[in-house]
Amino acid sequence: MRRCAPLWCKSNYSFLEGASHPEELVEEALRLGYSAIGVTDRDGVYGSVRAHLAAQEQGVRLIIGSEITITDGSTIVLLAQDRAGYANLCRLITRGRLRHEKGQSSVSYAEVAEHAPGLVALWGGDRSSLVSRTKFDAEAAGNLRDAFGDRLYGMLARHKREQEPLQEAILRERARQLGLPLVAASEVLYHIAERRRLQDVLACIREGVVLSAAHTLLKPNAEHVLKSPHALAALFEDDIAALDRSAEIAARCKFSLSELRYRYPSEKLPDGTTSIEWLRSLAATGARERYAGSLPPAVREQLDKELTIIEKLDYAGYFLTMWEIVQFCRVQGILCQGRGSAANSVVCFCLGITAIDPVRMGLLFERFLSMERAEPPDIDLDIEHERREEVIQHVYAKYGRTHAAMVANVIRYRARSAVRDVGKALGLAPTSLDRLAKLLSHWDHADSSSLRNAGFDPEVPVHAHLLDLTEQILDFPRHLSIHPGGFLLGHEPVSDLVPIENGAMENRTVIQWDKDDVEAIGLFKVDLLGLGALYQLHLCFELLREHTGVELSMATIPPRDKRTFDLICQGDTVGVFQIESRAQMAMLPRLRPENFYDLVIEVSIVRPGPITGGMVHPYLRRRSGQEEVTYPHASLEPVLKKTLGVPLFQEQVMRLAIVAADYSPGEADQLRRDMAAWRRTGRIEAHRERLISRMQQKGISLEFAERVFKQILGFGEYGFPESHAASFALIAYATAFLRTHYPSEFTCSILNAQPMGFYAPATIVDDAKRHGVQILPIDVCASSWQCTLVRVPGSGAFAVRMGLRYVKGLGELQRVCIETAQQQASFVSLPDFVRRTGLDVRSLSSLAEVGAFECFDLPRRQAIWQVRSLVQERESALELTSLGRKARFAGLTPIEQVAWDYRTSSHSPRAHPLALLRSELTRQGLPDARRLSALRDGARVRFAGLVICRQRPGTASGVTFMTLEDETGFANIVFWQQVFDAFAVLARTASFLGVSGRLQKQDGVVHIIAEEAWQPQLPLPTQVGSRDFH
Amino acid sequence: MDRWACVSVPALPLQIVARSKPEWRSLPTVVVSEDKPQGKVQWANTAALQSGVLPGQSYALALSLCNGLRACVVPPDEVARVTEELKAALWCYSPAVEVGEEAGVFWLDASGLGRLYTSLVSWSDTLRERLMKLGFATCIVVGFSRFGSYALARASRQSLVLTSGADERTRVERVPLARLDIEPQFRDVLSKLGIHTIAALLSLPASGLLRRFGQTAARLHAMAAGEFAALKAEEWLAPLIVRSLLDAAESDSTRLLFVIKRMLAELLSKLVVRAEALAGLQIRFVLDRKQGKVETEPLRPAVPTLDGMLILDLVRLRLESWQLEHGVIEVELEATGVPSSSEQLRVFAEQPRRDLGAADRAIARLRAEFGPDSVVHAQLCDGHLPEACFRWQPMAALKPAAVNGEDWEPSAAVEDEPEEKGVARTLALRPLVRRFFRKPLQLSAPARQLRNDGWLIRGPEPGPVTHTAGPFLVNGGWWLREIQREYQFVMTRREDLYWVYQDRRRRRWFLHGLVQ
Repeated sequence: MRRCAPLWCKSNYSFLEGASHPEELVEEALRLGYSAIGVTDRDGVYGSVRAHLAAQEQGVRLIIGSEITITDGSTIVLLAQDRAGYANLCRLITRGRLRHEKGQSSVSYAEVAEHAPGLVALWGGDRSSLVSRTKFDAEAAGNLRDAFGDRLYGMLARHKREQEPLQEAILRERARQLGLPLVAASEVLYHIAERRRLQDVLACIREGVVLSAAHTLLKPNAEHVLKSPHALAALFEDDIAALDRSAEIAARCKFSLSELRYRYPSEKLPDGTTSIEWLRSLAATGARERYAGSLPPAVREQLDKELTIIEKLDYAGYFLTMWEIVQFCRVQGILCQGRGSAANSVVCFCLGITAIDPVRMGLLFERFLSMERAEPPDIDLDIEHERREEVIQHVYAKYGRTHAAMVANVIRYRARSAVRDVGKALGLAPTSLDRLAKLLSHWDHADSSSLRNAGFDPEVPVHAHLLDLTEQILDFPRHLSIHPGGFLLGHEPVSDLVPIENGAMENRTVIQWDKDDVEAIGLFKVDLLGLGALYQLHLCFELLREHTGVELSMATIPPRDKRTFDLICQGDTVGVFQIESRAQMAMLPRLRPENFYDLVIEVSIVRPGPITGGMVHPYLRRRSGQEEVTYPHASLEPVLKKTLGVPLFQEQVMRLAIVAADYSPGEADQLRRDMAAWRRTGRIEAHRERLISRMQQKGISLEFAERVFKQILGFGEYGFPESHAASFALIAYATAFLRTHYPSEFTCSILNAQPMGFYAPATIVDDAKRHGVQILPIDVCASSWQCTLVRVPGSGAFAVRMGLRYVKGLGELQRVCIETAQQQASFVSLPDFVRRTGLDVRSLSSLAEVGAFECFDLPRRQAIWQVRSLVQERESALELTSLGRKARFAGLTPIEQVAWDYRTSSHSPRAHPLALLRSELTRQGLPDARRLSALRDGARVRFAGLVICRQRPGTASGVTFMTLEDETGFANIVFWQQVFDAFAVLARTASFLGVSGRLQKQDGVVHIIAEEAWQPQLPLPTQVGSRDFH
Repeated sequence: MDRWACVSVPALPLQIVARSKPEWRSLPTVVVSEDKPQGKVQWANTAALQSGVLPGQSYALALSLCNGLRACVVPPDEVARVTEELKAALWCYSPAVEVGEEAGVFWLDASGLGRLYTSLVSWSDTLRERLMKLGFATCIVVGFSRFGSYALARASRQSLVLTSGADERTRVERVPLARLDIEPQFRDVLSKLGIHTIAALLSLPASGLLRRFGQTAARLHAMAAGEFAALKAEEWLAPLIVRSLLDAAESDSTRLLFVIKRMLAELLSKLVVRAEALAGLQIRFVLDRKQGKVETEPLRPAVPTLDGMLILDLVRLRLESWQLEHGVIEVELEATGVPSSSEQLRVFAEQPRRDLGAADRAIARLRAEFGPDSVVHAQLCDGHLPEACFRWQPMAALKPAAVNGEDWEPSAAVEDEPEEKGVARTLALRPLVRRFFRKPLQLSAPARQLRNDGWLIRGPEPGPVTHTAGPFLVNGGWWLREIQREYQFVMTRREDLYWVYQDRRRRRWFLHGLVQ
């Protein structure tokens, strides 16, 4: 077989150009008998890690390179010969990318020449200036030749196009003049010819045209396939030496991504101490603070163990970085807390990164870090969301843009986007595609039946193409976005490791690899994630300090407050982090959490993992004493004791695999990773046989083994590690405590932290009112932009004054205008307000409609009428005084007032819409939500309320859950699929809904099993937004 | 004018859909702004409304609410066309018709028509039935004022003939503002102020409305208060048609030309009265012995003109190409006029060296003689297939050739670079022109075992193929009809160059062109 190598292959990471995964290119190269392949994506090395992993697995040598765009629009292919060359390539791409907006790049020939060391350049192809009559620059060509020396080649690319012989003639002549050797290397865009169709479609998506109008935007033939050495030999039979030269070049390019040596940035250490010494010192200091001077032996032992592993793996710098970020947050007063597997580490606990004591909780450190795995630890830091950008910019400032960049997130084609984009390229009607896309779920894929359901006919060729091509395009990268909070930090410039480019967001720079790539290469990622609940807690602590003088923090909240747990047990948790959803509220009275660990279980039990694994009911039965606590095998008792013999956490599944199926800790961790990705990869099936058979060998029943495996699949959907649940439970408890003891402060803070959580502001306001919090309406003389606390005269309590931010139509500009005017002097009249704020008619009308001018003794309609006149006067040069008769308007009825409140501010401080209709509802025999719980189980009942939530969980087999609200509380409605379908229009669209059905009471949880839905015959309350099907 | 009638065609776009697609009448149907998921629902019929679909929703949302929803777009042109159709029908019932700005609203002068139709009720019923036959449900109100008749026509479900002005005023005051075509923002503000009816609107001070909401609001107030506004009836313009009955059947084109010449003079004088020039002329002949009618393609002069001889020349060219087997017993000419423009300025304009006008006149003559598609020019297109690289476009006028500097750039660039001359010289082969056939000619396939005489492309004279260059592949079109061609240049013993391809799907060879 002839020795040659394909050197110019573009994978699908040349976004919307290449039509094969990097892995496919590598596998096909191996099948065709190549020993090396060059992957040269356009202006990037996006696919290099995947190609590298595949090449390692297949035993093919990967040559990493890139097709670089020059400022004149031409291209040149660069290949990394060694580590220095790879760094030069990354630096060159970084330079080209950073000078352009996201998605574009270009460098000059001078810059290419400047970065020549360690790189091989292939100059040719139809977009190259070497074959162009107009773009060729002889001086630049000479400079390139001087910079690259014998590493600059003229590239012969043959794709059987009619223009190529002429272009090749020009190239040969110029190469002769420049003294360049020639190499044969055609452009490869797909690994098999069948992908040509997909490549056409990708070109159409990229250019935004349909296939029939794409013309020369498409390649003229299917010659961009990865050809066999025999086929290449036939193609270049007239210049076989040029083909042989490709093998020589492949031999010259010895660089592999395995050579990347990553060094974590060193902290500036005091007194020349080493990183690990500094870390040990900080951990010891932190431990003394955490344990008030008396360090328990178990903690000391665990601390030593962890620090030893950290030292051996040389990860001290990473922990110091996280500590430094946490310190920054502390100094700046930004609330933060570590989550995820980091909570398994006592070092993280002592450094103040996490708030959970892993020793006391008995958490598995190996889930976080182990010698065997020797993989970078993953510390996720939750930061209050309003101030996360400050922390991100601090990291950029501390390490510099060269040494810190955010990790990318590769947006890939999923079923819906695939159907939309491919269908559009095929010229199908967007509405039909929209219908098909909506029939598909996120992980689904289109098939014949879904096509038929959407009105397509799979027998029609174009529809068959749609089916085929959407299947092929699934998981293809479409474009790059930014990871929610992942940072890559490096001691050396990050752009020596991977190119950096601009993100779509201002002031964000992003690397070209995603988190999986970073992990696979063994680089450290720092995750800085935004969390609304922390921001709310921050606001609440500030309100407490300002208004009551109470100094509280996450650390000083009393840990075992009975009143707090009592309210939690009742499911009275609107606004409480993680346990406020409909499903959590329904679970709370059954699980009845009595301590912190119960909350940890509560947080993690209402998850698809335990639900689909069938673990919820056994746990509840055992907890209530209805079922004996047994263990499938004596060896599993230590693993499952905390959860009464029922596995609920990821760590337990890992331990189960270790104890019951003889997995090593590393294999158990691999099981965990495969759990997370089973739907995509199917790798989990490889564990099935092994797990079940080994468990049976240990005497564990087949039924239990099957159940454990089923749960593992469930965890793939979404399962919590115990440590993560514990971190969240801590925030859940803190918010529940504040809600119980400081309802006004809690309400005010959660309203100011919006948008966050599960409920709309209206629900939070009404819930607060039910708990005795007085809510005061928006008032331009009394309201600030944010909601504020106002002392209620004659009592120590505080009322919440709604802020101007809740007026629809007011934004940042209006905030500045109003606040500036407020600072000058209080408003004395409407003309004064209109004149000094300078607001436009629209904003003033919004304020008038919400009743914010009632402080000037102006009813809303009168205010609407007046502001228009006052604005005219303000803008008119002449002071006009109306001499005409005055307009009179009817006053608003109470129902209208509430309706206006909802329309203009999405809530009403005055009353719940149904409170005003209660007499009529009662006359019609409709009970309120509070009375429902007093009715007997099985009673037939009719109920009407505002729909605040519609949910159809994937685990509920088509059942739709609805929460209806009235002035006394919530009612949970269950719609079986047939009932929902029968009343679909009403059930989907009505904001005020009546249901008839049977009452179901179990463990204090009340549901109405709907049999019928109807439109209540009443003056319709206002439209209230509900959270639907999220 | 003492009686006004307002004809309201509610939800005109929806009615247009119902007329063109009667099978949709009982199905939930909407008119959308564009056929895209983000398109807005503009009108919805009762069945759609019952499914929860509302105007203003996106098409995607409407579809999710109603699975079997039918939707289509009614473009403004279609509404305008139907409005013209309705206007033409209304003209049969009133001498003065005004088309309202709001689609589907017309005002008619109904004065005195009661006597013609025994009563205004009878007139109104007759008119409504006529419109019903056209496929439109309407509401007609005969009142005493423009605003009164309009407001009641928009608000009522049934047609009305009002008996007194006082009755009209009483009824109008109760009309909800929501029924009128008021600017939505203004209507919303009025609604917020609790102003829902005409009476409530009239309770507001006119000056206050003017100051706050501007002229449109003040105008509405004034109209509602009874301000008079005259009917702006459109002028009736009869089509420009002249007919001539012949004493005896005529089949001689020269004699017919003289008949047409006389008729043309009459037609042109009518155009002059309308201050128009002739832009198109349609000739229709009624044939003898009940052989039916024939009509010509419209004749179009190079520019609109009143020059009878020039038009007659075009008519002559057209008639010469006609074969009239049966005699003509009636001739009808229909002219299309456009407003004539003054040509005075041309005196001062610089005269181009080449007379493009003469060329255009020549083209007009060719088109008259051989049909409108007889003069074409090639337009370059973007395509891989040779036949897709250009298309023939009918041409009515000659355009001066545009000299595009960029077109010449390549050679200029080569000249600017001395070192490039070597390349250019090397590649400067003798200029070749490739001509290709409108339809490729099928060839016999090259024999697997070539005999001494080889592959004969065009018979023995040019000799067998001696050299080939290629193949160059062009394939694609898989989404519609897949094409796979392998092109080659072949040279025969006589050094003739041919351009051939093998159709891989049909396994046949074709001669696509010659290289000269």
